Amino acid sequence: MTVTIIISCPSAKHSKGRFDVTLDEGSTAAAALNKLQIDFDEFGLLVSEHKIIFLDDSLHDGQEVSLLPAISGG
Amino acid sequence: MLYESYISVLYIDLTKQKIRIQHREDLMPYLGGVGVASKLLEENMRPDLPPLAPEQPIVLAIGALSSVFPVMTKTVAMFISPLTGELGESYAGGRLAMCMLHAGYDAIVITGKSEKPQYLSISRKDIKFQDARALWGNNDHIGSTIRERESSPGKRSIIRIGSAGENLVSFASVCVDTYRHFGRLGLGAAFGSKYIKAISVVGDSDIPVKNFPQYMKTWRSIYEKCTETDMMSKYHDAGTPINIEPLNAVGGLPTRNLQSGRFEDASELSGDNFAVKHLVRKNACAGCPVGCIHIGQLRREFASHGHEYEVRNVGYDYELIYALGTFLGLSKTEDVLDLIDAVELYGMDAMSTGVVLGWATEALAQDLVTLEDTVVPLAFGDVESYKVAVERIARRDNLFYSILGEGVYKAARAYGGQNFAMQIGGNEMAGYHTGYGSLVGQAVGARHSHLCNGGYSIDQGKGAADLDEQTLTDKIFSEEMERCMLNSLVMCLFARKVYDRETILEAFHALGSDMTAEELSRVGRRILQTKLRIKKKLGFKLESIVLPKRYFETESSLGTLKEETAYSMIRRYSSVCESLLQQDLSASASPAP
Repeated sequence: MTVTIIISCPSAKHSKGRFDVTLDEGSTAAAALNKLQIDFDEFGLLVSEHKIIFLDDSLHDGQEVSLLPAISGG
Repeated sequence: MLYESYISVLYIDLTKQKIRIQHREDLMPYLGGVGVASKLLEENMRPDLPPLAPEQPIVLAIGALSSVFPVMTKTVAMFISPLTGELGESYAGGRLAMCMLHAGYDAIVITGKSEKPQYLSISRKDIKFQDARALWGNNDHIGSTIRERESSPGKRSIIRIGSAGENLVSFASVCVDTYRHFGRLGLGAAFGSKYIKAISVVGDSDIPVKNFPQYMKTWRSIYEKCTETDMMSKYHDAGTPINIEPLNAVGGLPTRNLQSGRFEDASELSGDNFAVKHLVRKNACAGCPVGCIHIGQLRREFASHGHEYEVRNVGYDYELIYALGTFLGLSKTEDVLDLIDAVELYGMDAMSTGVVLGWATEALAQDLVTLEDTVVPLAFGDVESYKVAVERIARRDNLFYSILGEGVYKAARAYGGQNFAMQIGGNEMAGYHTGYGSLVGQAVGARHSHLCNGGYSIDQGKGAADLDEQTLTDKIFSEEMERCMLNSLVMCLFARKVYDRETILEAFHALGSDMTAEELSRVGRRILQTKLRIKKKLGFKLESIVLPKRYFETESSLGTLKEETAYSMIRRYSSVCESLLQQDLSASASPAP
């Protein structure tokens, strides 16, 4: 299956972009980030279909996942 | 006081124009910061009098580790809030904490009222009551005028109010060293009520460090955590405005008076876009290696003919962009900076200002108020009308703007529209509609701030949508106590990942203290208990909290919230508070398990 990781807020190490990644069926968000060599801790939040998802959540084919900074107190 | 077994308190009586200094050993169990300030507020406040009565105290306090280790940069102010009528608590960075430390004062208690406008000049060597009649009514160049008048050497911090504070606007702020503020809950009005335009604090003494090698080793390890890990990098990089996009993505970004949790132009107001278009400088508070203060440059025409332009340097943060941007439907970064600049000029809390304007906009649209009241046709997205309204609030121009200057709770009581007057406990809402954690957290928080217990953070955790009422209530309570302890130090909460328990203890030990983890927990409980006691004496009851209906109509990040669930959580929290109030947490009592 193919999923897309979207970075709209660039970090010090990662620029903006959409990154397609091919994974085995039922793979998790952690596996997708691992394959793209993205450090989740540099961001902190995964959002898909307007909902927060988590590293151990399974993804499905065609799913788009936004990788965003965690929400912190301003 | 650093290396001493007492807290050094400077008492200033403005009515008598007298000062006294006390070394208080009995305050040591409160550690410093919010602990000491709470105790001093409790000792000096007058629950029988209005919040702005001359007798009411203003307390400023630094913490047990202030300025000694990286990011221990804040000063806490405690007072009776004219906005909520109960506990007033606000934090600011800048240079104030460093200057108080080097002036030799852990806390300053100000009571009474001057006969004429004054500013206070405070140093270790002298305290002066200075004439400020020429400064009263002015909004610009206050700091530079005072600097020109004061020639004493040392590290200097100047805090000041604008015309909103002078005119007793209930959410007037106090500006600290240009780009930092005691923003929330109306400390500016407390200053104005005492005829205090400004305070200049000069740190004119040195404190020799004991056991320098151990101190430096600890200092360096904390410094490296701040600068060479990811723990604080985002605060330096784009800063807190980076919140705009994730909050919008999860539907927790309050938009147009919380008619929605998503803003169609959020990407225009993103931290990234502000940086690309406007960022010219990053500043840091004294003693901070991070530099999270983002300054944007705004070029604008200031006369309609003759090619007259000026450049303004405007500090921006997430909360300002939310309150004066998405909450008012402003889509352009230039408009948001322009409005922030106007609010800054008159010295008001940006969050409260945005929320009262959001309510006023809807109240006008629903004919609860008239154009005669608002003078300008307030409408979402119309920055020019909002700029006029900001000035009129600060001047308390007519009856409507005078009432608006009392905050959205009182304005809605006068004109109607309580269901969309977005306050919690009388304090205007913060920029998070993320779920029960945020909503209940602000309701039960001692000062009704999102920073009391970081409820928005609980809403992002795994399983947040399924948390039962008791678990969520317990999480909020435990975080509130932890933050009481952290705020006794007084650290910048951006560094809370850096300062885990082990690191805090290491810092204390490097200064020769035998502080333990158990005592730190006990300090947190003791402080929260003191704050709850103050609130009770001031007549506050959690059961009296009324949440506007809109919180339950507009979908949050975790779906539509249920009114009965939120109130049930507040009741549970209230009973936990009652238990804490019954505990004996005096220094001599045996430690709780």
